[in-house]
Amino acid sequence: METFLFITTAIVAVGAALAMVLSSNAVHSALFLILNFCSVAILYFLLRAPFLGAVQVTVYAGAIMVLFLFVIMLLGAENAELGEEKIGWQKPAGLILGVALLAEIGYVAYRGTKLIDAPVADATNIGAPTTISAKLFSTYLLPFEVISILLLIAVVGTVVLTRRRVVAREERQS
Amino acid sequence: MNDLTFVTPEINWTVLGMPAFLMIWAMLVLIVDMFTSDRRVLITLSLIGLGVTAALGALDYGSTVSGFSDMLVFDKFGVLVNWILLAGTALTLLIAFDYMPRQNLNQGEFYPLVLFATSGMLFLVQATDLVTIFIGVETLSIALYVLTGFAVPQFKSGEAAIKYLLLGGFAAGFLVYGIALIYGMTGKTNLAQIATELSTWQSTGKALDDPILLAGVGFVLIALGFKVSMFPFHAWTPDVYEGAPTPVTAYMSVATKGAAFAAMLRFLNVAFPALKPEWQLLFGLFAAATMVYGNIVAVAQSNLKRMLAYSSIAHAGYMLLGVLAASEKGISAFTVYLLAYTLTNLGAFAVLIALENRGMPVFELKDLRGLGKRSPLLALAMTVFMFSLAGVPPTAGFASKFGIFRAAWDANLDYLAIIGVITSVVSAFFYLRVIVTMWMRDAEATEPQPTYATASLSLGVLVAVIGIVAVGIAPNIFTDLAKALVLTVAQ
Repeated sequence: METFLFITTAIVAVGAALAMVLSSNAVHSALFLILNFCSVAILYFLLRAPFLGAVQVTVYAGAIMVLFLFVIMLLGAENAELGEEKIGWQKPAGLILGVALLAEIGYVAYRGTKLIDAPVADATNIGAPTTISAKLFSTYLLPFEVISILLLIAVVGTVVLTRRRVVAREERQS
Repeated sequence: MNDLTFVTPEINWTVLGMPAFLMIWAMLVLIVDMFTSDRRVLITLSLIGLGVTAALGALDYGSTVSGFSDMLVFDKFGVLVNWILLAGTALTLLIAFDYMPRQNLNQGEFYPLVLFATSGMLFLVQATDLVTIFIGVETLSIALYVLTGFAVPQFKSGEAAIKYLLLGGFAAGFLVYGIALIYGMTGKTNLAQIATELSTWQSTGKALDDPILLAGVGFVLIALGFKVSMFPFHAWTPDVYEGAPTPVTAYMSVATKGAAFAAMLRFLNVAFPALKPEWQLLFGLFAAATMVYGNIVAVAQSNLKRMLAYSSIAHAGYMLLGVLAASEKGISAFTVYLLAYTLTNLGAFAVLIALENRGMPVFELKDLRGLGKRSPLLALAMTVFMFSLAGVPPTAGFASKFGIFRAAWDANLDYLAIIGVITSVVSAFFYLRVIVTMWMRDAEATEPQPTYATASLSLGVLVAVIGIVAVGIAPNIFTDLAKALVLTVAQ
């Protein structure tokens, strides 16, 4: 049952990702991205990380994608034409690098590299919110706190950049 | 859920002191900025903050403490690099002080943003865990994106900020991807624990050259290489340096490089000594390409800001030699080089700032004609900076380059040392061209352009010149201070 679920979600996830890149309408792309996020969330649930799965749905598929759609619709960029390719060798180079990456992944699979074993012993516990929060507020307290500084800088930066524009406009008018 | 244990983390203020104090101080300056628009108050406060932060490092200098689950370390190397970064920040504020209002960029947030960026750098220099390295990189980057776009209604500044943001975001993706792959293979994010894990691999006969592990290391190095503008990842440098406000360019060209190189040093030497042959070969090639590319393209530049941008790419190549030498000598040579380069490059940009008129962003070499007659002192200072960048003997540039090349030679990277010497000779051409233009060419018969050598800027230039000459005449003082810098392997 788990394997079946995994294969179905994996196919949906990859398909949605492909469709997102290939569709020419930006709104369709955004919707396919939501589908992709949701299927990845199911993969998290299958890996017994319910908290991550829930965060994936609420933060990515929910909050961030709503912002995406807002911006696309505000700019009216649904059917933006692709600009002329300025660098001619970009596409072939991308193709070659993509093939190289695929070859490397194939080589890794062929070598049979083993990643570290997932801690399955307390599988019910590992992705639980309590476990995560205990880690976050003990072992990883320092990074957690410094991230708040990071967010503060981002807020200050946004204010600085937007206020300058307002100041400049007022100067022009006066 | 019964086995849930909550360990109250121990707050070690020795370890956290420097970055944490600067973060809190930056918030204080931000609050003061709400009540006063007097920039003299803001710069005084900022300089006091930088001074106290430096003093905090001096308190326990010499001891080695590790804290916060070994994610952050306080050691001699970290403190020394932090001091250089703090000095660079102070100089930046001095040379920016009169420039910002002159360019109509007089917003008080400039000072706290620079302090925030510096605090992120201090954090990055002391980081010994992939998680803290990532957060350090992002903290300094976000502040720098904003600072790059500080002149934003100006088109060039906005363009530079967007370019830097997009490519920087891409680099951040590489960093996280690399961290994930390394964690996937070793199950650790702590640098020292990764090294221990790899040595157990060696003893159990597990192959170290696993493609996933190598890819992970490579991805992290791509991201750090992007920050120091190493050759294949340098493309953003000239555009961003040209578009950003000049003091921000000066700051970026020295401080970001210093912090990212320090992180690279720790990453390679603490976590992956086992893979040394692999990364020494690969990054040796990158270092060689960086030195050759930066110097040769700089020859063709007529815009001074772009020339200094390419020259900073070249200098990244030289500093990379110190990192790659992976020896005590290499680390101390790197530290001395960083000090010399910080003073010199900030000084050179300070001279450009003194000449930059409002609404005249393009800066051509011919604008320097006749500067020797117009303001001989400024021209003299510029001469010292150019000599130091070129590595001419009585200056800091010579002493530090010599140390770097010797460290590379001793580490059996002789081909890199030779390329370094040859490219230095090439670089002398465009540095000396600036000197010749200043002293030997007469200005065209147009109205003389004013220079803005204000008190604070002159102070900055003076400090830089004195520092360069001091390091150049008595390099032993600094090399002795930087000697025996063993990177801490905290367990």
